[in-house]
Amino acid sequence: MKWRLLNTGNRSGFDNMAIDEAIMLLQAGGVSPPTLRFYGWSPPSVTLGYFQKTGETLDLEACRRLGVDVVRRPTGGRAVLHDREVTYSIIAPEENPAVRGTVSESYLRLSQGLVLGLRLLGLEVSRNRHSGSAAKGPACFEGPGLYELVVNGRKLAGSAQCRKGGCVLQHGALPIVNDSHTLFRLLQFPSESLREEKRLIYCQKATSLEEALGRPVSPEEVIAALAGGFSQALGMVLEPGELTDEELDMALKIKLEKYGNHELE
Amino acid sequence: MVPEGLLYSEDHEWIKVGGKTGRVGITHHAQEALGSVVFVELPEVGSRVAAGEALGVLESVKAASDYYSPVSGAVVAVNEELPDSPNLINEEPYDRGWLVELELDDPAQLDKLLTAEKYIELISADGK
Repeated sequence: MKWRLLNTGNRSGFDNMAIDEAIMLLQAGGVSPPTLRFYGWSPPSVTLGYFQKTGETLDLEACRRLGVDVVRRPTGGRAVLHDREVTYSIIAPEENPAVRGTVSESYLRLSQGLVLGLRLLGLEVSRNRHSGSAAKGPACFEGPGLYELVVNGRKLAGSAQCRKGGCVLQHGALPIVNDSHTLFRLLQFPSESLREEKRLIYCQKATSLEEALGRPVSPEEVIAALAGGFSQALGMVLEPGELTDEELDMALKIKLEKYGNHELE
Repeated sequence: MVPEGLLYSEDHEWIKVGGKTGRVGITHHAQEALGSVVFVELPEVGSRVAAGEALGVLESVKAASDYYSPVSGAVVAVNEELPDSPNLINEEPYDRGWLVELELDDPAQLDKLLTAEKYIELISADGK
């Protein structure tokens, strides 16, 4: 099955989330093709899950001070700091063989692409088979969710989905480096000792590509490996493409409507 | 787990009509596909919705999914129990897990919905 392959480079969190949503909305209208997109983040951004309450989780003043944008995802899950990482999104109609079925069936199938891609990069990862409902902290990488990718018991990749207008959007983050100090400066804690305690626990539970590989790695190398993994595991025929003018216009409109003043409620 | 006497949409919602209003929820099949629901976004009472349009969002284990209105109408009530107990959608999808009550614009729209028998055919066919 033919898929469009996009690499939209580093953009702001507002642009990144608006582009994913624009592709999904236009696909629901039969305009955009099934798409595998890779992207990065500049400036660094924290994304919050669709239902996550901003004030209870984040120290917004610290985000401003550190130049970190705060943006809400259309997908579920908890807070993620996106800085040096490779993010993927997969956007396809619900009946597409890559995403069809229940939420957990589609997660499992797509995770096969990630597992194979990471193997091409030189990493053996396993899939967590339990749901993340036991993990209650505000930061996403604190505990692996259903079918998320784990190296030596530590979470490497987090993914989240949304379903709208007969289409599925799944996006996920693979940190190249994991900056726990910055992440934990952005979250609210009642005391500094608790902040440090939670950060150390997080460091034992989360990892990054460079840490797991034990060598430096570039976004381009990661993207090539993941594209290979998805195409082999899911039979995607990837054709490099660009965002269309219609998608860019729609993304701009979504960005202005949702994030016009760049402030979350 | 598809009760008789309700009408079903292809988007996996049910509606139970009584007079001019209908109570709407998602089917047992839909809640199973979503997994544990952890958050519920309900529409504003008084808002209007068209058939097939999104009524709100359900967040289950890592997926935020729209749910849709089987018919056009005005929202006259929402299930106030759900924000605190979203699990009711999984546990009692046809009873205490109802989502929204609508005042129907046009009862003729109900003719386009599926009976329990047809809905069972739909979910057996698409294997979802």
